[in-house]
Amino acid sequence: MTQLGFFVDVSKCSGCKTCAVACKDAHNLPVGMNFRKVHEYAGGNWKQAANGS
Amino acid sequence: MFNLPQSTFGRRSFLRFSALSVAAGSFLMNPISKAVAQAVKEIEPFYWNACVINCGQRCPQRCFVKGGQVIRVETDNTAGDACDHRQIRACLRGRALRQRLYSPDRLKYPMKRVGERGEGKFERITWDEAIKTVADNLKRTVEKYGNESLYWQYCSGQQSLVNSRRAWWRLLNLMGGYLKYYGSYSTAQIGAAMPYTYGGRPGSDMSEIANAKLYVTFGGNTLVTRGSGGGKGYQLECAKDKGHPKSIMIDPMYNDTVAAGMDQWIPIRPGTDAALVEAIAYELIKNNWVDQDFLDKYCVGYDEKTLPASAAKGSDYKSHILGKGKDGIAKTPEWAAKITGIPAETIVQLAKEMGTTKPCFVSQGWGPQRQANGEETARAIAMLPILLGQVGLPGTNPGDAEGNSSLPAVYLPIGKNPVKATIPVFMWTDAIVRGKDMTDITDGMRGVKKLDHDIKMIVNSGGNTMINQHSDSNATDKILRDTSKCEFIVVCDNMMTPTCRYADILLPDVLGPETDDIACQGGSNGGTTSMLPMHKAVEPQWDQKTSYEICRLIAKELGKEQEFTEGRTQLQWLEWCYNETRKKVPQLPDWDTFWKGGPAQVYGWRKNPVALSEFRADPVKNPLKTPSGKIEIYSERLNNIANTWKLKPGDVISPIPVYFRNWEMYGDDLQKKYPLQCYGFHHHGRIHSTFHNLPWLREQHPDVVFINVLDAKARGINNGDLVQIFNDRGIVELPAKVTSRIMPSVVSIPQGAWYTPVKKNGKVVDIGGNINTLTSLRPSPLAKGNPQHTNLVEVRKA
Repeated sequence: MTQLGFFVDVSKCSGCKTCAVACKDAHNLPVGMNFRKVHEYAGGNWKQAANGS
Repeated sequence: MFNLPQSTFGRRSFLRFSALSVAAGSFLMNPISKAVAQAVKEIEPFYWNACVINCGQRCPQRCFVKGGQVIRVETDNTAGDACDHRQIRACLRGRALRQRLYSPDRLKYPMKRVGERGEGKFERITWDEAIKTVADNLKRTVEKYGNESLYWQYCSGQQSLVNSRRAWWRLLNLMGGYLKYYGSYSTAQIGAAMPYTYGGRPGSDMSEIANAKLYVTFGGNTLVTRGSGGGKGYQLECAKDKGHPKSIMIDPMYNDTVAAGMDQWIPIRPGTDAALVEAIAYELIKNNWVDQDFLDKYCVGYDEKTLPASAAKGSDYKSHILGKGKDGIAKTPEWAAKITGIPAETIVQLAKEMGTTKPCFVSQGWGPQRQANGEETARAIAMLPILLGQVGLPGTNPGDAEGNSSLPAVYLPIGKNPVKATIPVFMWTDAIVRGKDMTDITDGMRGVKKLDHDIKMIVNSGGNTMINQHSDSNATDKILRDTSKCEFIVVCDNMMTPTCRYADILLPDVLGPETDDIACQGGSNGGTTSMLPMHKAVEPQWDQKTSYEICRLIAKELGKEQEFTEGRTQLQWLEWCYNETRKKVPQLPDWDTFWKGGPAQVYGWRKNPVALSEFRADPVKNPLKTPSGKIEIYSERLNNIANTWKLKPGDVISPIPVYFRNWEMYGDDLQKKYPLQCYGFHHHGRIHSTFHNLPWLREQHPDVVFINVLDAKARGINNGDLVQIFNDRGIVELPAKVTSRIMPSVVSIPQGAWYTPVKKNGKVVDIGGNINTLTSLRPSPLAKGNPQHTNLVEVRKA
């Protein structure tokens, strides 16, 4: 069967990027060329309370 | 206080990593990758290897070879995908094996120092000269100064059965032994402290989290620190999927284990975990959520009733919490809020959840304890399951790190070390400078009351502690450069690490697929146990030799070859070790099947996943290994130590676990000059300092300093700006990662980057980004361990 893509459950992703490195090893990719990219998205903000917390 | 983003994603989606998948069609293949894919199809068999760096796990690797070169690395394919019997899949570091093997930093030839020590100037020599020089210096040091002056450096970088530090220990013991150390850079404080509470360090298996309703961990960043397929990270995910406990992470950083799906993050100032514990304890007592029957029957020192006769009135735990103890302070949530940075209402809510949800599984990583008050923190965290009676039951944990299974693998025998003197592992720089002054009550010496010797020679093989992973790299550099103090240093490694720069003789070791060996599961592997064959797949590329062979040659030079080899070759030792292991683990296949086959996994080695269940069932028949046989909330032994040891101002050793503020912690006057707390953390792209020099990994996980958006704004720092993190000990230069993922007034640096000091405007600046340029040589009170997460710094634009 031809593999058409990858199924990734991103809800379990810890951002280790093993997939990216395995891909680089399999395809002999130099730094700067990545067939598999993992991006971080973060948000949230902070406020200082009077008691320092 | 941290506010969650208002979005439709909900709490769990605060942070996500999105993987952009692409179709693996041939249109993406370049000619090289096509050739590799073709070659992988053509060549069978591959060679088994294993990743043996000290991450606490060991993973099988399959090496595909063509033309004498490893051209591709795959991992375990010998099992299915279940939660128990599963593939032990290598992580990104194991996958990057080829970049290690073919790194331009490989040590190629034996070399001798030609410049100043530490300068990094070497000249190629013959093996004959190298072996003779090392043997002569071993002899000279032992004859002139005694075996106590010969130190084996803490090295954990090569953890296989035969071709490893074991060969060096065997050799040094044939020389009459060497100065020993106790403890480790990983667990100095918790390793010293927890046995006073429990008589050991009990830990329930990760799988028990599936039986819990609530999982609370202090700094347990399991998916990063135990991220391999055989490790506890995968077990944690399995347990969460199975039992769906509510999960809470208490950590200064929204770490990647939270990102992968925990329910709540409670940011806390580094080093203040014990204050949070005390406020939770206050709430538990106030609301009658403590398990009084459990405390009466199984514990010593919770209240006056079970306090030992020798203890002063009011020195029990309950009095301390309620403000009836020595300090007279009630440990209220409002009190703790000012110290920890956690709003009082969050503490009240956390205490309520812990007090009313059972089973409750409490654990801690090794970060909270790596502090100048770490011994107290480690024992304090264990107070939560103790107060709740959540010990020894399904779905509970005694409060230490989650437990492990381990096959009793037989490694290369090392003989006996007759030297009695043992120093705390962190104190070797002191032992170089003032070893003669080190005593039991001032410096934690064991085996002797007084050391009476300075370290005069160091043997270092497969480790980068000496300059990189020890504290205060700039100060350590000065100590090591003084050849009148430590007179001779031999370093054996496979890479030109920063430690290699301090060698007088540099010996090139082989790496992974360049020799035969065996790996056993690591010490923090969770539920999987295994024996992994490591087959020689390719020849060493240069003039390298295995550690075993190097030690054999030195033994030969010393006239001890027969004692060293006992007539066995390296491969014969492997067979011997395996067969001896098999006597204890009869489930293992016979040697030929194993060696010709592949990874041998053993399941169900640990019979009882619940720590202390026997003690819980019958504490009289199954007492703990504490003097009382019970859980010692109040430890008489610690009280004796506190009364007899000479401690530095600020240091505290307490019979009951207490929060105290030590030097360079939150609230210290030094914050006027250096307002930010700084600690190191383990990241995906390295194991300690190993793998640092691999471009693939640095590309995926570049070194940065994590700094909060508020702190960055106050300093005019934008994301990606090059900044200097500095204190009186040194200056580190790194790009800033400006993020809400770390709490305000705290910065963090992934540990293990290679120390690279350069002169800039007359000042020494570490452009390598090593956190230990900022850390202190002052040891923690009880363990005399490395307080490497206790630092105050300031940050400015470079």
